[in-house]
Amino acid sequence: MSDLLVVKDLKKYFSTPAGQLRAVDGVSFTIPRGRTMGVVGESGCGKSTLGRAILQLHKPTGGEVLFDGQDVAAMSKAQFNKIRPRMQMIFQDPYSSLNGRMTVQQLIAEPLIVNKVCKNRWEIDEKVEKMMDTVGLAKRLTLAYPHELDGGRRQRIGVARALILDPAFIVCDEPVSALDVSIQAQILNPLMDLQEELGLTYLFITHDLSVVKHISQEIMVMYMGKCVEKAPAEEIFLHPTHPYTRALMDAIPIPSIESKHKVRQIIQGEVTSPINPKPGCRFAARCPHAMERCTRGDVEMREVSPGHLVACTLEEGQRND
Amino acid sequence: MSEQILSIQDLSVIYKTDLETVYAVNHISLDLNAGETLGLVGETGAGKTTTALGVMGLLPERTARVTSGRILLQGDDLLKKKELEMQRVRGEKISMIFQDPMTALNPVLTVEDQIGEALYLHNAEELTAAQISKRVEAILEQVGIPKERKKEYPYQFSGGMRQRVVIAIALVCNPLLLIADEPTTALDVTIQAQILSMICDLQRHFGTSVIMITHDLGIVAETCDKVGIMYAGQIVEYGTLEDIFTGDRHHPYTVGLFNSIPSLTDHARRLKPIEGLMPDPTSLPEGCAFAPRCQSCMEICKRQAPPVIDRDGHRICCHLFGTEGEGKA
Repeated sequence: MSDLLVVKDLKKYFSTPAGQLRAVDGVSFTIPRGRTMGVVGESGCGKSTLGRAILQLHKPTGGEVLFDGQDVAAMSKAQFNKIRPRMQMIFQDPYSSLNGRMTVQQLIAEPLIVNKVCKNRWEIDEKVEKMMDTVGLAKRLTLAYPHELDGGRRQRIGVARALILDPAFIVCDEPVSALDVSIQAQILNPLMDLQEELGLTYLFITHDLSVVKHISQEIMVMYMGKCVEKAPAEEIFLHPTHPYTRALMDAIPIPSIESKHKVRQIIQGEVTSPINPKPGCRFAARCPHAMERCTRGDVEMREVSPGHLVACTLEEGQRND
Repeated sequence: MSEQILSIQDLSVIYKTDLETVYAVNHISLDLNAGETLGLVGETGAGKTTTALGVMGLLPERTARVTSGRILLQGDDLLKKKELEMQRVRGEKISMIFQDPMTALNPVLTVEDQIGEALYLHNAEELTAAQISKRVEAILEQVGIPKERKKEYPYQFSGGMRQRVVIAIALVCNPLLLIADEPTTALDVTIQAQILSMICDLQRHFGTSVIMITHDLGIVAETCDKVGIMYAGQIVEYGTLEDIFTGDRHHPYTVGLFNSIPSLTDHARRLKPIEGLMPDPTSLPEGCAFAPRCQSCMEICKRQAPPVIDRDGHRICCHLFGTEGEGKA
């Protein structure tokens, strides 16, 4: 079996005083071993909740998460704790995700201690030292505290903490969005190198389409808890099909002299509330092509070309732009 | 349309505390004409916001010192003005859009009161309360907020809508100069596109000059006429949009910045970062501040500050172009 992660109809609802907030509403996908799935969407679309639900940091409301063929959502806590070291996460903000009172050495060693992986201190020290080298942290920083380091180095600690348990699968939740562009590449390149070296599988969550293009083989676009389009990375950039995907791509400012006089279609309006959403396509309220049938019932994903799935009722050639 | 609005000459700003001195802005010069947009690009800590606060006269009093330079607004040196005089300039002639609309607004005042405040304070035309209310409604419509929402409080608005309110506050007195400090960094891309196109439309409508502070070269390409690339408190390259985005004479930092952006059109999988980090602004290296990270670093770069090479208004601050003998040092 070559698919490391299979997610089937995953749902995560939160109860709020106003009603049911459908953060993730029936998302399905698979990631083959050693590959990267990029998840793109705007704030509030449920991409972080998706990552957390897969790792059981939020208990899913429904659906299956098969990791290496086993359903982790149905496992007991004791069973899952055995698998947890194999599924790790890199968090978004290296300023708040690290304990400011721990040294670099302690931070990277913590997962080893929590999971009782090592027999003695020497083994821990050795592993930490090796890991610091892997992620490019100088040895002299062993006893430094996070506040002494810049954002790029702090995020390297985050990467080291995720990698030290020798995982097979890592959820990268916006690992570079808090960093300057010239530093972003200093994290993205090692992530890609390590993937090749160790055969890691990533779920890469970001709002930045250009970052996701670089790192992923397959890309999934989310809007209000639903996956609206899913395709191989090249394909989705060549033939974006869902009106939301197109709007998202059109909205990115391109650093080139030609974009000065570019006339772009700007989608109006904002993301509506995901609490008790109306039936049908969630994007219909902002969509320039919305028709009556878009809001009648749930829009199923359909395949427009091999591996390219879209949840939109528009047929090819019906678009009037 | 060629009247000069703002001219900054040789401006330096330091932050001085008991422990250390931060050299935030070092000898920068730039000009802005009526109706133009100038982009100030740079990474965190490059001195973009300090420059903006300097123009606004909002530098923190206790720590910041302007150590050299002049800031001329229509020929008037703002640095010589007293605080009371600056109060007349701020909001009326120069206004600013701040980065984070979540914290820039007062949570206990309605948006009408917050927009109207600027009109009350700069009431040169002696408008009555009713007229001010009319103006507020008009500007709300212009920034795309239904006027019925004027009695609402900031928490009732989304991030994009709040930024529209901030823009309404900035533009309600029809200023000569608008400083937009990362106006869309806290917003999603589709909302960013809405806000940027609105700023550009309003700029055309009012004839305002804009300083657009950003770290996103894509935003610069779409909105600006002139660009200044900042690094460690200096403008390392300055010119028209064409100068910066085309041609092959560039500061090595500009080249590195362009290379490090993940491109949507390029197929290369590996990204090219600029190795190393921005120098500590409390102890800038002798010579060129970019030298430790520069791929074309020469011996002279480590010892001597680079000259500004000016060719038809395209200024590059680098030793690489000094040897050609065509620049003035």
